[in-house]
Amino acid sequence: MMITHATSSFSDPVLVRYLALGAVLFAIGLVGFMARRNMIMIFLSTEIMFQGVAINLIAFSRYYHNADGQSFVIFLLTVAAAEASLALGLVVMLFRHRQTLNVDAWSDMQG
Amino acid sequence: MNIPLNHLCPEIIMIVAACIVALLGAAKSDSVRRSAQWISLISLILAFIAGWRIGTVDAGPAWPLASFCTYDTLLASGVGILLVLLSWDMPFALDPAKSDQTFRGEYFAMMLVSLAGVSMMAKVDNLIWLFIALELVSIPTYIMVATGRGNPAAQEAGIKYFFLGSLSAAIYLFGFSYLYGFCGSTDFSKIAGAFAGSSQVPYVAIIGLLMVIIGIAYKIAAVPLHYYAPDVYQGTATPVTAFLSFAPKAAGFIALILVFNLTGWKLSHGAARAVPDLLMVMAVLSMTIGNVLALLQRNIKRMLAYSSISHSGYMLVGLAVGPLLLSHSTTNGISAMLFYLGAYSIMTVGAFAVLVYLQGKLDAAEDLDDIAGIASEHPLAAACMAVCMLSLIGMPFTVGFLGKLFIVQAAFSSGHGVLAVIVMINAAIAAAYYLSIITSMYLRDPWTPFSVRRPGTIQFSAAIAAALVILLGLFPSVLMSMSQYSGSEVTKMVAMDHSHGAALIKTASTLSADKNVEMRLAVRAH
Repeated sequence: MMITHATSSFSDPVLVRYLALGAVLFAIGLVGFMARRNMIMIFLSTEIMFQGVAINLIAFSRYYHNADGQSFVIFLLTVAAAEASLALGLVVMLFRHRQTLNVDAWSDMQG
Repeated sequence: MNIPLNHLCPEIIMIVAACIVALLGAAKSDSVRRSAQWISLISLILAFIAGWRIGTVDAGPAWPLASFCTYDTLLASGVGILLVLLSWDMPFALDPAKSDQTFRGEYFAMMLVSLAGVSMMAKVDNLIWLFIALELVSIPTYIMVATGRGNPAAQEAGIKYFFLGSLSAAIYLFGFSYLYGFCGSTDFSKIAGAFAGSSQVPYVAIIGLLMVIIGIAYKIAAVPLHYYAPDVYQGTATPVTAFLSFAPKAAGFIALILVFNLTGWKLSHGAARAVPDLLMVMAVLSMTIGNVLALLQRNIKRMLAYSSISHSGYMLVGLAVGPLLLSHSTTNGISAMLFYLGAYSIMTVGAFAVLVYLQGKLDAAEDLDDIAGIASEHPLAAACMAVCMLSLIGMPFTVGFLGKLFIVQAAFSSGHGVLAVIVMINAAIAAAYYLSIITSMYLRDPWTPFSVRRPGTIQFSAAIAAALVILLGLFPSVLMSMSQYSGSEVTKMVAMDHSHGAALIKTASTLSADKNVEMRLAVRAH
């Protein structure tokens, strides 16, 4: 049924704009992940990547007129929230140890 | 989800037990807190029995992946039992005298949740559910890595593992979003239908698949997302390392099988060729990089981390050649890979169990010097370690030999002779560092005085693993038939998806005859 769209889904001009936004957000997050040294900024970068994915899913969901993508986004946000709580807990634990959030302070193991 | 609730019985048992264990972990009295291990152990045994019983009831066409799911559940709960036994006195306190006061049940709760995720993985039939199952496996492991022991190395391992883990999740999610965009549904059967219906796989689906593979490569510790593994394996407590070498890897490989099932494995022409090519490049690089860098290590946990990378490479060979030759079900790459997954889980968990048992300078033995000359004082532990190492090398009469044999067979018979040769060269390279562990145990004089950890369950777990390695090496029929049926189910699904299937389905039904031939071959190979 919806499968008939499959070959043409990337030629729809409106959809492509949203997909471009999703891809740009994902790329910004990826660059931030590589370039930033502060743990909270690194974590926020991964959150930006998740939001890029969410925009993709919502755009496709609207394009195909079904709710699969939107329900995916709800699950994605829930899991991202769980990861956020874990990340903040981890950051607090690490900060108590070394009084810094720079990831370079945590690179003892080599080889 | 289309499968009835009672098929989820093993996972429900594990999750309920995890909740109970987490609650008991907060109790005031130490003896109540210490019931956590027993509850985890009993729940995993129950889950194993439940998985076995569900698997023996023939579900018929309503549940096409019944054996595959059963194999996954039995693997998760069976190896889970060994893992609970070897982490009996987790979490380690840096001061052993205080370990009674610091004992908490969370570790076991996290472990059960993660194992439930592994067990659920094969039953997934929707991208959303696949995502949830992957995260159900991963999120508890982040906590286990960071809190497994109190030293800075564990916390360093914790951040590396967590941040790279969420990066990999973002990457494969991006791939999922494109797969959804390709066909407009997250349901596996609809995605498979869209792949089957398109004569040429469009770029959007190929990009999606490539990103899914790269993201999941993190879970299985394969190149290019392997570089966290040595640090994380070394930094965290040894029982957690044992867990990491099993749970995320099993989950990742099963997820990869499910994702490739969607494509119907027909990716051999046009731009779609990039997908199997990527898998083969990853396989070759993982094997070679893992084995070569392992040669340079003195720390055994680090060495086993590189070994885990290289074993992922071997399994990727099985995945890359896939069920290519549907007419030769006995050398189905998926069957070979699933067999290898079971074999590898048992032998690596056995090796880590010995390391946990031998108390090193800090908590568990880590360095080659830590285990020097242990054979004279702890012959049983040394023997278990030696058996596991020989099996990891792939010596005959061990389960590791059969695993490598099937992978090589599958590669040869699908026309990938070069891959098979690379596997064999790598097996030879790997022998060097595994043998250095054995020589260190048997031929050197003790370097430092060492003690062993008190709970007998740790040694018990090592002994079971070593016994299984030998028994399954001599009598592989149980593991073999399970992996064979699972692999053939995947093949059958492909046949149905492509609906040019009568001949192929007939092949699958003659599988049991083929299996006998294969078993005779294996026996003769001894």
